Amino acid sequence: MAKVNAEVDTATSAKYRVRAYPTILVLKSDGTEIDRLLGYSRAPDFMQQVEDYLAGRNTLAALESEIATKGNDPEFAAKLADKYYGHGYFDKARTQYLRVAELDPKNATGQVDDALYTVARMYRKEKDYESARKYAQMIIDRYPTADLFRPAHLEIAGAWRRQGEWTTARKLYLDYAKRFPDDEDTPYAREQADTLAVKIAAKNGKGA
Amino acid sequence: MGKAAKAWGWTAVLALTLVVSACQQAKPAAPKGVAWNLTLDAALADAQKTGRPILLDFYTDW
Repeated sequence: MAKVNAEVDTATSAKYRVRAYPTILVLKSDGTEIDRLLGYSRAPDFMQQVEDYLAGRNTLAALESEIATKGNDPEFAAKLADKYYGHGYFDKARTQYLRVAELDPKNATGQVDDALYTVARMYRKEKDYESARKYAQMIIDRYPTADLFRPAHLEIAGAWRRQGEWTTARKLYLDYAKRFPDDEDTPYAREQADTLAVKIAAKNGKGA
Repeated sequence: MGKAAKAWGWTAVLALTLVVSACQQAKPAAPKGVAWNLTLDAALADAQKTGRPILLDFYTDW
């Protein structure tokens, strides 16, 4: 067993593509990865997961071996996408998330908005704000009753903000607050709008 | 299940059992808890000797 300070031992983190903390890897004795656990979990769940991995269940390799038989099942595609994502294989994850959307156009599984939202966030992290907005907009256009319908609006506003389009972003935050006044994220939207107002004023002041 | 796989399975179970029993014993008596290696190389050296799997915890001091 080993504990590695991921910020100090960056070589080991990079070797295993560890992007989030805590991440716990289960390795064979030769150091090859069996699979990984992300974030915190309750002790019994943690033990179960480790036991599954050691028995070859629920691993990335196990899921990949099922692609041929379950490849057209949107639930399976979502599970595989999450697995790729957790392993830092972002391109493969994106392909699978989009496959979820393709296999389940009506969002019968309830997984499609999650899939598209994750794709949008991945693009946002890569600073491809236009693609981020495209996939967030897809949630809004197609799935008005989905869990992530509202967050998708904030994702679009956030993409404009990060792109430096503060006026557009501010308008979208204000629209959100107006449209969903009692929403739990509305205080956040108002705060963002206020912060942007200050930034916009400072910028205009400098220019004058 | 091949012979090697079976042996692997048992090794894993044994390793887990050891981890669990170590934790249980550590609770009342030893507040030091689990003896973690602080580098992967040290853990790999241990694992080479014992043939047991490795738990590698990436943490931060945030």
